[in-house]
Amino acid sequence: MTDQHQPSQTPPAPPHELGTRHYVLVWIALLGLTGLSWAVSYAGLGALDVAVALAIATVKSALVLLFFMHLVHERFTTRLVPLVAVTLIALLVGLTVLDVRTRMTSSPAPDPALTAPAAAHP
Amino acid sequence: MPAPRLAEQFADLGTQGAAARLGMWIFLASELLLFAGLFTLYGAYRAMYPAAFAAATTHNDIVIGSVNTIVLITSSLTVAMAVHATKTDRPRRAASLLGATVVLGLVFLALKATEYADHFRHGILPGAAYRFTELPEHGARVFFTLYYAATGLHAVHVTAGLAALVWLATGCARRRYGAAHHVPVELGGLYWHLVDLVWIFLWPLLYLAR
Repeated sequence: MTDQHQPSQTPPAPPHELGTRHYVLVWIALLGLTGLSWAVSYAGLGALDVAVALAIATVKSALVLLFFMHLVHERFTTRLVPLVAVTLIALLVGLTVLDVRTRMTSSPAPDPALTAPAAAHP
Repeated sequence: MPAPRLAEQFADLGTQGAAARLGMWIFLASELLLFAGLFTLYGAYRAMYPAAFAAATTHNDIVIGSVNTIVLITSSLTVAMAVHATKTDRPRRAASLLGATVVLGLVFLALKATEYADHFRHGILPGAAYRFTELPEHGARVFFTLYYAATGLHAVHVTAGLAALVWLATGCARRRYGAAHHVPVELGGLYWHLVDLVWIFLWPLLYLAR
């Protein structure tokens, strides 16, 4: 029967190559990207607004996942889990938006909440 | 501090810790998929009502939203440092850092409450209760309903995370955790980072995309 009791000696601390300095650097990078995102939102990019904002958010989330959450040090099978989730989310959101955008159906009925007579846009 | 009990199926505590983290990652992935449903709704409805969504976004306070973003990013820093302090056998420092994380989380919730109160005053309410006369169109109503659903669900996660962090901070202060027993603090930290991750995407979609 294998020994189920506490180990006779404390195990070695797992490698923690990431120290306070690294965390602070990542934090500064995150703040910088936040500022960039805020500034770009005033640039009036129109249709690109959401795409650029999401691109910056993706970079920020990569920093959090890799360094704050230690994915750089995790084994591949552990990394596979968030990778699969992110892939599924990208497919779900991407294809749903594509679906809606490529619908060539009739225009929606005039919004009853708006008092102005409907100016039909076919 | 008591060392963790090595379960029979694991070769050593290192493997047991890795298995615990894997389990936590699976849970976090399920949480991501939960929010993904709301993000998908946002994407679909934004494609349907682009003008109304952009107009409605301007009625969210970008200052409060951005301050909250900085608050959560900083709370991720403090919790990462708390996990590091636990691993390097400084549980009292870890307790202080966890306490700082909790304070930042409470600041976030307080700012959210002021936002909600301001919205209520203007008649910006979710679903059928919506009566914002400045933007009566259906697309704006959908935007704000999504806003409440997403930020409300996120706030519930923040609250649950704060409860876990308070419990861990107490444990660190009592020296229950340390270099020999740090996995629970790691797992709590991972959950808190998820809360930050979700907000990193909520912020541009709800406040910036005007």
